[in-house]
Amino acid sequence: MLKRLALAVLVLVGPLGATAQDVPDGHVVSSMTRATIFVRDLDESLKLYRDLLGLTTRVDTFVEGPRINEIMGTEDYGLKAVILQSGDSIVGNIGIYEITGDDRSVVAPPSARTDTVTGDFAVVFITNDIDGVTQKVIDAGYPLISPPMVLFPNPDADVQTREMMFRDHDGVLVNLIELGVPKPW
Amino acid sequence: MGRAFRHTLLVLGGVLCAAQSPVFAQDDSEVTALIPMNRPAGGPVFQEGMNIAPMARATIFVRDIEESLKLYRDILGLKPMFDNYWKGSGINAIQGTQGVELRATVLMAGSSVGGNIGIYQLFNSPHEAPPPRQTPDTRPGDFAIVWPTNDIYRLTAEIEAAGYPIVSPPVSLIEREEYAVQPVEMMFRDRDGVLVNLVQAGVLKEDN
Repeated sequence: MLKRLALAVLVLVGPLGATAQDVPDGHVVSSMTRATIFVRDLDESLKLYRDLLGLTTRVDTFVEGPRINEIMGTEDYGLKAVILQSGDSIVGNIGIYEITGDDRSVVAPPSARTDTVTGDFAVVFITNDIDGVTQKVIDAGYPLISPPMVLFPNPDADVQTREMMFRDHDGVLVNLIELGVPKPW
Repeated sequence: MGRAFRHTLLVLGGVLCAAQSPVFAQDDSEVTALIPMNRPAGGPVFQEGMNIAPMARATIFVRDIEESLKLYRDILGLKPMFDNYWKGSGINAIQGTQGVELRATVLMAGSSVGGNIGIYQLFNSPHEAPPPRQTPDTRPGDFAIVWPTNDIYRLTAEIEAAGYPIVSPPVSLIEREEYAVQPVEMMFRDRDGVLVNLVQAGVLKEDN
């Protein structure tokens, strides 16, 4: 047990605790390392963020004990933590965390609304294949808020910027944007 | 369209803003820049085999944008990339809404195309937001934003003084012998219940 805990914490601390990100001059925080979703079902979330969107695993660990509970403001729970990244970027990662042993209350069902309301959270990614990803999202049955569309037509663009939005299985909005191409003059 | 006007003063969320001329699209979309665009250099990078670049931003649809800016801009010191007011069919189509207007500001540390935060407020929405979660613990369904900092103790004092619910004061996840100063992290909730996790790197001993 102790050996497992020690290993888990060592794996966790590198990326979660001792980051190599520099804080820019005149600032007290650096760019966001990651947004973390405390999900209802980690494996279900990985089907989207890892398998469908193609993000790669940077950390995959389980941690338990008093320190992780102190940070979470909890007692006696465990945490399955996966951090996904695009390429080898240490900025703009996504954390998929599942609290284990949580017996506090029944978890409210996630929002499956097909509109956007106050209180929503969104993760925004730039993609180079918005049509391909959208088709996979539709095939997998995620609630679609909007298919790929031009938000604001740009008369100076050869190819317009398009974006789409859907909800993941925890109700988090996922906004994908494919950047346009300016006219060649 | 002939509707352009210069140096308009808009009252948004109870705040008087000096706005630039609105820009209109071919449809009825209209966007007014409340501040000049502070566009970061460069663009997203797609590494080999990736169709998705690192997360550009996490966006919170907040209850009160001015209240949120007190935290993210004034306490955490993030700088605005843009602050726009949107009207029309385009913004409603992407949001799946009707007749809603949006004030959208994106804040960044330094000048970066990735790892930013969006603070968005919907106006004219027919839906009333539920009260935000303000409990000092972490639960399934929570959403957290993680930033490295170099000033965690001063920020914690300021955050506490401002009355944000503290989930954890600065603590070390594990004590490591090779560190002269241990890495620490703290967590609190913003006014919309979003968890904010600040992480401060440790300092290695000189012989490491």
